[in-house]
Amino acid sequence: MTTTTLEKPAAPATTAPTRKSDRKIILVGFDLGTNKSCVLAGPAGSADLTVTKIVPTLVGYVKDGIVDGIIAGNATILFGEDAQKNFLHVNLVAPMGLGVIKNTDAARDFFRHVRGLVDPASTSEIRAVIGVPANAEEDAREEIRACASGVFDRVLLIPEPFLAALGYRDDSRLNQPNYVDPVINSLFIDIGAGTSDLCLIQGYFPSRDDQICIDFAGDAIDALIHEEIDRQYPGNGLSRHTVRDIKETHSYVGPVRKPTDVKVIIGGKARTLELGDILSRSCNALIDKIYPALTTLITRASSDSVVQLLQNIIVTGGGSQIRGIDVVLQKRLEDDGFEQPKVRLAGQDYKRYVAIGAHKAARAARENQWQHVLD
Amino acid sequence: MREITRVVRQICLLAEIDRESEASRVTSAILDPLVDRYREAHGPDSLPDERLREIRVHEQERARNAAALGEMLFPLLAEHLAALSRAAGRAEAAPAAPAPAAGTGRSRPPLSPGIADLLDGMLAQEGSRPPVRPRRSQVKVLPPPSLNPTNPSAHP
Repeated sequence: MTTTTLEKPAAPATTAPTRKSDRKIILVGFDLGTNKSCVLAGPAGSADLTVTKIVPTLVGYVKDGIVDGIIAGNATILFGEDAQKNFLHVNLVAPMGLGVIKNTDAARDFFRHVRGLVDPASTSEIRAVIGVPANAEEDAREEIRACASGVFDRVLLIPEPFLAALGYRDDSRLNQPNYVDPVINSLFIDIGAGTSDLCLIQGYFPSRDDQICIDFAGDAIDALIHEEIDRQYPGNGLSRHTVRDIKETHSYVGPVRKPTDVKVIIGGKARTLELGDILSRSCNALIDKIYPALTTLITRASSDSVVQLLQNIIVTGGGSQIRGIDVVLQKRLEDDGFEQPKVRLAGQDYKRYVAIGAHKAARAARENQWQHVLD
Repeated sequence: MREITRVVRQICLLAEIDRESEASRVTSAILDPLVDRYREAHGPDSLPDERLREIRVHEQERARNAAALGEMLFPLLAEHLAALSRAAGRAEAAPAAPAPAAGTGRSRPPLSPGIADLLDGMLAQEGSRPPVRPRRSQVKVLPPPSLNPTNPSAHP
């Protein structure tokens, strides 16, 4: 990453600033998720949001030989739900894997799509705060910057759990004495599709030691469920997409819940599968992965703050929708002797918190904090 | 080809600001595959090594000039920025100091300055990671002189 300031030596000193100042600035909060991305955008100087969109992080390249009229507008690239709907006619590419860019070309196309959503006329200056997994390596961050260059004008990359805390923060309650600001003292567990990110947030920007990123999250649970279903019901032909739907509808942690009957279509016929054990084993694997990281971070908190911190453990991301995850984590903390822990779910808005936080950060960022990206 | 030129420029700039390891990473992770793809798509002779060298020489020159300009402009702009920041600080009339590094014991600062201060912490951490990037941070902070440096909300 570097800056456009270096790109402007040839421009007459008086024209570049004037031209810049003529452009409207749009601030974008961009949660670049492995499966779903959330985009919030609005003009600088206003809290108004002109774009609020959750888009599946998918790019569909239309296959050769598709006759005119099959794809709306004879587009050659489709995005998000449009790509999903036309899966028969496109090569579907997921730009992201495990929370980082795995296909640069697709990611760049996806970024361009996002730009088109927030600035259809392509006349504005776009400043985007983009969420990155906790502890994202410099290579991963560089990849995002590379894809953003020429698409966005300025960017800021900020760890997702921190953005989730910012998004979750109820600004209207900051002055209430009984309100514990999550940005001041909390522990966020953000369970996405690719990674589970845990982050201590204690009034300062979390250091690398305050964050733990685990390569086990929703997609890994899907894979486990799929493997076990294949083993138990060979030749079922269920797609990963269907397995994900099953997880999103029936997932739980804690003791086995039987029967958990799930109706599926196999070979065109309706069948009912009993998936209680499979769902239990697959979802509880998540607890086994994140619990040690949770306790590690708790023990890293200072003794002055840890009691209040234990009251403010928040689970967000798609994984927060797994039934009982708050109860099971809290129970394990209690059983291990932690002082009156309280684990809460972020709530139904979990898909948007990172983007909300990113947009808040975009509104608050000082001019000198934005990072220019090369065009 | 434009993309290749852009990436070469990025590499030259990274090298120019002493971020050699990053330049190497971008070369192997981005430029090399890009060149391979280009040659696959357009034929092996479409982009000879000689042409690639020419691009690199050209972009090196551009990067060098740009860095030199940045170094000349920086003191002027930093001064300008500091003056504007002081003025903005007065205008904001924040009653308390901005959020400290470990601010749990203090009264809560207003929302925006708090977040911006937290971002300062993030940028400081990034800046402190090896390799050290002193010149990068110099260049990064430069806003166009005509823009208000305190908040994008001041823009039309």
